[in-house]
Amino acid sequence: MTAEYVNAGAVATLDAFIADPKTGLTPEELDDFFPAVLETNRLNGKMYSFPFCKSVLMMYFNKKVLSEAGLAQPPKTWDEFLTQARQIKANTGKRAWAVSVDTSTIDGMIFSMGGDVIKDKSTLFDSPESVKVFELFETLAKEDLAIQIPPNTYDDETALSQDQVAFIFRSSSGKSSISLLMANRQDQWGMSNIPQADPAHPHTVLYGPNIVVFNTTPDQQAAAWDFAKFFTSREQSTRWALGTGYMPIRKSSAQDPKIQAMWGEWEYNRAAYDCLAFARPEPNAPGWQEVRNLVDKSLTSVLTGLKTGKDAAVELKKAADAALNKK
Amino acid sequence: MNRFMVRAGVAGLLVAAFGCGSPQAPQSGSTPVPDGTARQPAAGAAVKFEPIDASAAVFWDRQTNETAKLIEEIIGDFNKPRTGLQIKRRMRA
Repeated sequence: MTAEYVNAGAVATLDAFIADPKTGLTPEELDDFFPAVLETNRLNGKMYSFPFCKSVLMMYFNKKVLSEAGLAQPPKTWDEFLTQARQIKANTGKRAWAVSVDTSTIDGMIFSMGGDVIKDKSTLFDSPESVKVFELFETLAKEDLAIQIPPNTYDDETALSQDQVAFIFRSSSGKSSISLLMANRQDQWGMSNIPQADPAHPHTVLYGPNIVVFNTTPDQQAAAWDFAKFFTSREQSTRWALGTGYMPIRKSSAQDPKIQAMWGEWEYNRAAYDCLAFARPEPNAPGWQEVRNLVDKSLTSVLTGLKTGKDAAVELKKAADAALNKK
Repeated sequence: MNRFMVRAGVAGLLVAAFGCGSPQAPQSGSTPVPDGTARQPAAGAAVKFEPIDASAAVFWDRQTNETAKLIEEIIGDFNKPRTGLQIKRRMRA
C-alpha cells in the first residue's frame, strides 16, 4: 500500500527525520529494531514508512484432530503436511485445512519453499517453488483434503475451534481470537512456523501495517514523526505488544520482563517471535495491490478445480507482470 | 481480547497514516481518505496536502475496540507533556 502512496506522490520520506541529530534515531536505536521490520518500509533505498503493527504467518493446529488421526506432532515439511492431511482424511473423515484465500499466505508458502515472488519488475509465480505451492493446493482440492472458506470471513478459525479441521494458516495476530474461541481448551491447540521445504533454512512472511506521513506542513510532518518515534520507543512498543498480541518490533522489548513473563504463560506464546529472525516482508512495489487480487483469483481457480496448479501459476505470472508494468 | 481488535494488521493491506486534507481546495468538515488514488496529475509527482486541522496532526488507523482504546491512551500519553502540535486520532473506515 505504501508503494501506491509513493507512486501517487502523497507521502514524505522519513530519512531526514531519522537522521536528524536532535529528533532522529541513533545508529544504536536503529539497530534495536529487527531488520525485517525496518526493511519492509524501504522503497528505492528510501524510508517512506515506519513500523506500526507486525505479525508473521503461522500454522495453527488442533491437537484433538491430530490425535484422532493418530498424529503426535504437526508437520515440519510440506511433504509431511500432505502425508498428514491424507492420514487425517483417512482416519477421521475430516478435511485437514480450512483455507482462507490470501496472497500473504501464498507469498509465505513460496518463501517457505525456498522461492521468492518478485525480482525487479517481474514476478516469479511461474518459478518451481511457486508452482509447487499451487500444485499442492491442486492436490488438496482433488483429494478433498481442504475446504475454502468464504472470502472476508473467519470461518476457518471457527472450523479449527470446533474440531472440524486440523490446520489453518493465519497471521500470528490471530492468536488472541483463536484463544477466545478455544476458551478452556488451551491444551488442545497450538501454533508453529509454517511447514518448510527445508526446515534447516526456514522462511515465513512478515506483515502488518506501517505508518506513513503525508506531504503537508513541516510542523505537521515533524509532529507525525515525533509520534511515530514515540510509538516505536522501547516502552511503547512493549506496551503495544502486550496489549494487542502483535509482536515486539524492538530487540530490547523482547528482553522486557513483562514480555518474558507473557511468553512463559503458554508454550506457544513466543512461537511467532521465534519466526521473526527469518520472516521476510512482502514486495513493496507499485501495482502490488492489483497483483494480490490476481493471486487470490488464481488460487480460487485451483481450489475450485477450474485450473491446474501449473496453469494457474504460469497464467498468474503473465497477468501479474502486466499489472506491475502498467503505465 | 476481542476478536475484532486483532484484525487490522492482517495481510499487510493497511497503513496507519498521518495526513491532512485534500491536495486540491480543502473543504471544511471533510474527512479525506488517504487512499492515494486519482487525485494527482502524474505518478510520482509530489502532492502537497492542506491540513484539515491546523491545530493537530491527524493520525488515521483502522484499529477497533480494545486496540483502538490503547492507541487513544498512547496518544494521550504522547500529547500530555507536549507543547507542540498535538496528535488527534481518526478511525479510517
